[in-house]
Amino acid sequence: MSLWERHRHDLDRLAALLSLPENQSIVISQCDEPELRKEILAALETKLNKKNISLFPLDLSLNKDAPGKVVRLIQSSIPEPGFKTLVKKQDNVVISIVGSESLKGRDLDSFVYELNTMRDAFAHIPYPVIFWLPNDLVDKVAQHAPDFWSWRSAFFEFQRPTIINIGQIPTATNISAEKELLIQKTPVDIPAIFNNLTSPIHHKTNDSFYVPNPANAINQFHKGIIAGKDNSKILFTGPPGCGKTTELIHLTSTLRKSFFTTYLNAFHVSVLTDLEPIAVLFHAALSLAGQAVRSGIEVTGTVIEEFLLWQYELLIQGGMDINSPEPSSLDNLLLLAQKVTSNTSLGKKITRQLTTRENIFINHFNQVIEYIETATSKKVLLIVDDLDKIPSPPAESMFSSSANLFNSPRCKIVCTIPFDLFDSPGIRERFDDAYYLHDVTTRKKDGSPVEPGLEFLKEVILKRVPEHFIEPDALEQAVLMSGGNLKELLHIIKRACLEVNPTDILSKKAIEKSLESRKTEFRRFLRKEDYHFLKKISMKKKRPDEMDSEHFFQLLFSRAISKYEDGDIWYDVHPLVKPLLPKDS
Amino acid sequence: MTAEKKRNPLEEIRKAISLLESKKSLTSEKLLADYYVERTPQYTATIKNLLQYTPGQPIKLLFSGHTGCGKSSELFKLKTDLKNEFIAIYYSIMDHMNLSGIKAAHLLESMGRQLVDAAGQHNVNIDKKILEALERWPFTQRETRYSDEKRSGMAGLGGELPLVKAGGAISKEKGKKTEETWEREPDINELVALLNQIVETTMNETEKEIIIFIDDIDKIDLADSEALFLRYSRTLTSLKCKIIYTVPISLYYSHHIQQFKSFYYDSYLLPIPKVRNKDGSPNSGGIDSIKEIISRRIPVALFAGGVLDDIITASGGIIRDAIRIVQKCCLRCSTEEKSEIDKEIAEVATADLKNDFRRQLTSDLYPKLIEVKNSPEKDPDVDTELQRLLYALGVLEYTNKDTWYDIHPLVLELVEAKEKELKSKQKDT
Repeated sequence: MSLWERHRHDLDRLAALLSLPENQSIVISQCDEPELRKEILAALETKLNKKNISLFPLDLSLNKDAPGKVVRLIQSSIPEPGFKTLVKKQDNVVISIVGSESLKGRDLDSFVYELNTMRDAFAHIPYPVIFWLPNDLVDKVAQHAPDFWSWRSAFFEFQRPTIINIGQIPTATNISAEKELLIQKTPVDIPAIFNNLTSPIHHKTNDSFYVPNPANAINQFHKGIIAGKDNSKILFTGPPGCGKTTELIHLTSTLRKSFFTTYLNAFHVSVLTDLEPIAVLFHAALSLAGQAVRSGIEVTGTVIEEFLLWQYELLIQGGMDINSPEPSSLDNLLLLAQKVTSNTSLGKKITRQLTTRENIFINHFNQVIEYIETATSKKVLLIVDDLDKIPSPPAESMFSSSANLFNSPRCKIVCTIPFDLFDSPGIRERFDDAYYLHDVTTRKKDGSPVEPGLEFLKEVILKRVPEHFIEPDALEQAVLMSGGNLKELLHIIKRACLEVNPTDILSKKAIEKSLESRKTEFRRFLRKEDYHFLKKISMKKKRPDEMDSEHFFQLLFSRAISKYEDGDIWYDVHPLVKPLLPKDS
Repeated sequence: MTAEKKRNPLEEIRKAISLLESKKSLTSEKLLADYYVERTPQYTATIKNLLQYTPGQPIKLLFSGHTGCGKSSELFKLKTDLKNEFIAIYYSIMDHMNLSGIKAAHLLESMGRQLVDAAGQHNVNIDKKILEALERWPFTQRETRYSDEKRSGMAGLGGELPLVKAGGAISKEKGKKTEETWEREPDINELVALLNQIVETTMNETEKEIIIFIDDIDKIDLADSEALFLRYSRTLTSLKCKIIYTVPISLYYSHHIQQFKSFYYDSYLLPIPKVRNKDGSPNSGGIDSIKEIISRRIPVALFAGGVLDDIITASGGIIRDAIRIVQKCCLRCSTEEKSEIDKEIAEVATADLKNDFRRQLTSDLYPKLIEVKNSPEKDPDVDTELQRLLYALGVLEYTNKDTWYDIHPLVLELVEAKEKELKSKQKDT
């Protein structure tokens, strides 16, 4: 049976990688469709057999006692006669882990967890291992087992095949029909493109979609982190949708060589409106401890274990439900810690307890940092994202009166703040450094185009959308009218995609329709008093002196205006708002 | 099937009366099959694409449009189109509760009931504990405290949820201390967590995604809807399934919309057919699209020449109003035993709707109506008055390539009279 062309190409690469001598590769393969996976496995086996290499399948779903314990499964299989015979007969054996899609609940958690904690155990397995994981599990591994993820030798994606029949979307029920389509090459696959455009940014997608941002601020920000003084506390901000998270995730992986880096999404901590600074730090400390455990440094009997036991006491006092596992091991302690993250009401109780034990907590935190730094000879860097999404009043106190708390951990911390607080008095001076990522400058003050900015934005889209799917004019138009905001640009393209027939490409007409609907949205909420200032900003390219900050930030937040930087800092009205400005009377 | 008996025109008119029940949206598959007319361009196709292109993403959408523009029918059509791929739930919030003072918790509770029903229909077993907990919501727990303990209780050192004084709490002296009853404030996140467990179990067992269409939230007035979405959008978007909320058109004109819009994946507005152009001249394309809808319920031949066009133009493009006027015409024909809907009948029927506006539009709204009427580009400033008028249908938004506004054709006379009155008053002073 013939396989889709792209898959065949990937298969060749995969087979080549697995046939390397002295091979201990860890390969992660994503494939959602069982039928397709069977087919690919069969094709891979044929290829490997030709090179005198065998595939040894291990099915997690058959491992009834402990389905998630993959390392134990491998270790116990190697001495088995079946495996030994293969080894004798063949030049090499590749262990192929299947059945992960059957893992549920605790088994699934322990599987992901084990990948990271037992990472070193894989180093003792003298055979290449290939994991077959469904898409959501790949995401989970990338997010919750970041070390293992970054440690992999390769990642292959055997995607759902493209769809050609009009309006038909593959679902779990029509997979066999989909398989029929597999062999036919199709012009475009709009759902797949749409998926690329909507993929949330995380470690996995960022690898393939990242385009270096040409902004000076990014360069300075990187330098500032590396060269800045020890344990500095750094603020990072920018308007919503300017690409902060993308940069922070990229930073997390690039700085891993020089720092012991932990990335934390504060959004996952708790309901942000109730977010207490102490809760953020608590979760940061837990993430750090978790990463230390996963990285394989000695933890038993150390301050890390002490900290984890201390937090366990807190959980018990906070009334954690009695069904939870006993803290028999560090694994369990960490699993328990994760529970707090996912349970808001328990989280709130813990927060209240923490406030009365602030000093003890900070002391634990600092001991953990110090221990990790000694053990790894790397400085700890904590990256706390999404604090910029906290509404203003609580955010202001978090970064002014509670700033001391943020300054207490003795490690480097980068955290985002709401962009309207950047210039607020009494905030920046409490931190060591602060960086502002502006929207991408696509035009100069005089309106002439800025090529690096335009090229960057185009490239961001072309990483996600095949070039032949979008008319060059259409892309140009979308980029110019986005005002340089990444989220806005993606939104324009996504809306246009929904207008495209499955056999068509993304035309300028579709983009124009999308732009028109966006313009109408501005038309609906902008008021007379807004236009008064917008007109001034459009002419003078600066903030009118008489305009109060609340109003000004409201307009910035709504993207009716943007702040740009090209040597000089200036403001402009969104390109779609310009035609709405009142004509001169 | 036997061929339908030939009826006389009056009989046909009488038969049409019940079919022209304007309050009845096409919210059953039978009604859809009999009366649904596809819109061109097919507006909801975009939303359908979006829902299909985002497998596994629990996106939330806002959906709006003028009252009576056909939102419910379009939503129900969407639900019907998607019912095989998804577990598609459609319901009207009005079937569940009184809309005044509605809170996010009420909405979530209603979703909870729908989710439990849907799980039942798909033979999904929901853990009894979850169902019991849902029954118990809002988990109010009373506690008795003494006045001097209050302070420490409020600080929440015991790791408890904040306590609030119970409504109608009994305070009685006990020695020197006052005994008070306090209630734990229900934590809405716990409700969200419960619903998410139902969602997850159902999706896992059926291997289908859930999508909920909640209709009629647009019937909430502007202030309440603004408060609801401003305060609770985070909660309303935290369920792990797809949800489409209908919202009043005025919400899109809220100056605060930016503060909550980012919680939703996107917002949509179902436009009304353009039955007239910016200059006021009739637009035959728009008129024909409503004519098609009406012709499904009553033969067009029963109208005297040009009368149906006039009725549709008078509706401003509000489909429900057009249907309502035609129904009134039929009622009148029926009582007067007339076998044709002529100009006179139509004028009387239309006058009834004019009177409705007279009652609805308060005098403070007239200056804005006059401004819209006289705006050459039909491009009035957006303000609270415009927002209120859009909600009350005094002003209509026409949007396609270009967006413009005009007053409802039926208020024209009222506005002109008011304008005259105001002018003469100005002269007098």
